[in-house]
Amino acid sequence: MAAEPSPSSSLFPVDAFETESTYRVTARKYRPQTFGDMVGQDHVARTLGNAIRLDRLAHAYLFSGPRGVGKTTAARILAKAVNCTTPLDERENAEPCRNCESCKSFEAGRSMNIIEVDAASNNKVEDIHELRDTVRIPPQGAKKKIYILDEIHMMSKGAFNALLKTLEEPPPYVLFIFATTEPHKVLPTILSRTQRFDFRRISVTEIIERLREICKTETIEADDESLLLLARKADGALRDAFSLFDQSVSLCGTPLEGAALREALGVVDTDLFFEVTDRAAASDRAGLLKLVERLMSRGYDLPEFLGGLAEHLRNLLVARSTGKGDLVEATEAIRARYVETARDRSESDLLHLLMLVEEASRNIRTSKHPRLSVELALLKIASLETATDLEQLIGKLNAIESAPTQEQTTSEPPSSYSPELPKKPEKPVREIQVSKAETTDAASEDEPLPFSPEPPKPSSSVTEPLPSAPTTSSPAHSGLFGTPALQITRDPSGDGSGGPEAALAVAGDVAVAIASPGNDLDVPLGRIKTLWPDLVQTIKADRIHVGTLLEMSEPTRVVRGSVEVATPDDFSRKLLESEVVKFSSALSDLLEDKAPPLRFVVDSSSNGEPAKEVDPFERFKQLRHENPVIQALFEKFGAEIVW
Amino acid sequence: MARLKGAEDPRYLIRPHGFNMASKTGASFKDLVNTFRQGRFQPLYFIYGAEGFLMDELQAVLIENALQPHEHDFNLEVIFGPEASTPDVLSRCASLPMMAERRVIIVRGFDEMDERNLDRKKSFGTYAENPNPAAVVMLMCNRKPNLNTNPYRALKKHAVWGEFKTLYENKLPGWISQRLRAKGFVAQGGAAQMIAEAVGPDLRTTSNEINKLIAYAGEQQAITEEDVIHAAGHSREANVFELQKAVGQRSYERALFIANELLSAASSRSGEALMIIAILTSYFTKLWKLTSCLESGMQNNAMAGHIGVSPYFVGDYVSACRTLGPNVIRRAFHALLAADMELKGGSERDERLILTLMLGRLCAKKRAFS
Repeated sequence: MAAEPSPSSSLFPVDAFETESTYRVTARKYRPQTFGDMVGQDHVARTLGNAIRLDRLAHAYLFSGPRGVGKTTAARILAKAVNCTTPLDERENAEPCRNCESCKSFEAGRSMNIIEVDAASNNKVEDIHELRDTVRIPPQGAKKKIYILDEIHMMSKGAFNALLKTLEEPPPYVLFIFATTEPHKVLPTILSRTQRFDFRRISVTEIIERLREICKTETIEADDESLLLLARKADGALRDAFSLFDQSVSLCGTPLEGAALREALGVVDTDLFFEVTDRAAASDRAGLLKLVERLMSRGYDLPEFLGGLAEHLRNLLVARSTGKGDLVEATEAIRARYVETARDRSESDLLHLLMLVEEASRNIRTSKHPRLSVELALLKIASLETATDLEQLIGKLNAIESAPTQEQTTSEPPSSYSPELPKKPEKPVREIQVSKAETTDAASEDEPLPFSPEPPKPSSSVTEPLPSAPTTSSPAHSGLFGTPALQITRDPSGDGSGGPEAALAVAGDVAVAIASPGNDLDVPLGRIKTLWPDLVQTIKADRIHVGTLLEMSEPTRVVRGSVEVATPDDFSRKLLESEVVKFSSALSDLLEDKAPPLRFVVDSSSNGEPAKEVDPFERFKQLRHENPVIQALFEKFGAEIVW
Repeated sequence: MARLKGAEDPRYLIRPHGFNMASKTGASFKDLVNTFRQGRFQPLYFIYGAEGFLMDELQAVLIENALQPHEHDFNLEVIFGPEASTPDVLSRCASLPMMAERRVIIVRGFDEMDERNLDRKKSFGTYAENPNPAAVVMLMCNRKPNLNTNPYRALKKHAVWGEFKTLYENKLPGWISQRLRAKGFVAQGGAAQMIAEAVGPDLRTTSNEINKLIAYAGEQQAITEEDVIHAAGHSREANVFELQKAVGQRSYERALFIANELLSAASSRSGEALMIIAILTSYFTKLWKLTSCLESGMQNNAMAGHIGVSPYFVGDYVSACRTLGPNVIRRAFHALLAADMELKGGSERDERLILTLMLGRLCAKKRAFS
């Protein structure tokens, strides 16, 4: 038998056997040597063990996953186990025995049959050609010739193609094991010819367990908090956890303690976040500013602080929604604290805070004064009205409603109750008429609807539903995710026929204004209708095309003191709107009085298309069914249809 | 010569029936496999299409049946198109077998051979008219070539031809069950459907997943849904299917727990979150379709066909549909879209927060989250 040539110079030998060095980093010292040692990858260990045991090995494997989760380690264990010469019956789950010559030679880095290649530096076609040449030679004194190609995604396209042929028709004695952090960069043709294993990130609990074992072996004392901190910072990568552990031990010494470690790792203390929310709840603006000062003096990274704050708020939200702390990644004591704190907060408040933090994190990246952005955000948080306030407000409103008033018949001067309602200037203005409480228990379980405490302006007693009234959305309700992704397509006709879209929009986007009680009868609609042809003539004499468009339009009704004029299409509406001053003066002349303001709307009934005769009550019923806000108005505020 | 696994099994996909060379659709994979197994060979085969896996399989069956193992050394040639030239291949096709009944010449990636010298390639047209009867030549194209040009036109006319198209997605679960059966395993419950959903329509990848699953299963003969989930590295409690179920039952806490687990185990968080959104979107699309089915009082099997799930799962969908109701289902799309946009750069939030908010809205009973 021809002697097997030693792996070429471009091919890496396996880890050189370390004899001289006395100190080895934890990650290397505790690198798993058998399938059983692997942490958090049971699915891989079991499948590979079974494949060896039952002779179901594929000819190529691809191990993918984030860094530090055991891809290369698994490849090495697999290689060792496949070539282990101890009979399978004597090995449980086909684990490598680590005693036979094959296992020993591999661990000592002198195996001829297991060739480890760093594909990141041997990524050229020539390297693969070289590899293909060595593939032709069968293994020497072992079952398989195994190629471990690490970081395979770094190979050039040419190299991939050169490898493809070998993968398509591999000699039966060859086993390829590829490892990569970025499987999407590997050619699909290669991917489809390999058996792929996705390595998962290792859970915090598993990392903590492993760290604890190591602490025990190394006789290092470490408290729970420090282990949790390391595990969380490692972000699912065990190797990172080990490196951090080494660093921490050399930096902070033993025993490892949470506080010292936090300082060393630059992690913002959870207490600080609790302080933020507590101070915000107490509207302690000065305290928050001092807190920022403290952050700066300790040298914390502000974006990281905001990220941590968002995480903190999320934890509060989760604790609030579920009523438990199980889903919060923290020590038991902290979890309990979250549950405790969350009890007094409402979900909508927390959402609002999240929104503000998100806004700040966005600003801070472009801001020249990141500190200012953070301070502003915290001040905003502190001056936030809580939903509890709004709930109280609703309570007061209910009290007013249930009081024996005659506001339905004789519209009471609004000033009589306005002083009771605190002014909330930063809140968006909505016009809502609450006439009668259908349900007296206007419960505050649901989110409170932002509304205006401003007294309605008296104008006329005719009220109209205006589903397409202009809207302003409060930050708390501007869609759960800030700017709504689905822009609501408003129906310009104002007849609410944009139903489904409107209903899809989040509550804050849909404005429902039930007109204020006033005296629209003051507006002489009948006279205006009679004078309309004259007005058209007057305008025509001056500008014929405007006049023609005006002729096609007609005044239909009075809404809050202004006359609504139905126009056939959006173009006409825009053009007529631009001339509205002229019309008003002409109309004033005709009326010999001050003309009421004109409001142009697109009306489908004058659109040339057959207009659908819809019973307004039916339509409102439908709207109520489709639109949760209208529904809420009915249920909680006792709105009713008054036309 | 290495053989591809799985093809040796005698139970493999055989249903004897006639094989009509002149049919308009060409020879199917099954037809060809059957004739090979019966020892009937034609001198020239021309196969094209996107389903490379079936070509691999066919090649293995041909080699297995046309030649004895000891005849391989002198009578079998597998040629790769990009590395070969027409005169060379033609001369190999024309040569006589050596101490065997026939020669087998397989040209893979025939469309990539002599790509810049089509004139030279046209000689295959002449060969097709008068092929060497002592050889079995199989020309395989990895895609559909222009069949109006030579040599493909001549090949289609004179050779036994077949087109291997990508399998339709709804046929995939059936294919998976069949494949598992051929290897001596049974897919239980919705396991086949689950594999199909998780892997997608590529047969080679699917086949690899099946092999992996078989290795995972070890000695047990039945593959269950649980095995599919475990072999993919998910736990029994935390996987997308369970997440779907939790959302369908409006169980916010559970959904949140699963999403958390999925994200913390994922190699790419945003990738995982997008995958979750994609799966939930498809779930809600099915539920949305189901609402109209339920209104029209359709039978369960018909509904399963209509929304494209196995009848085995349709019960779950119906109950989810009833729990959520049409309004919640419709609103869900908004939340999904918003979350998707945020993940793709619409915000600075981290994935976990986005999913927390999204699930809050999907599971919200009183719309406290909106």
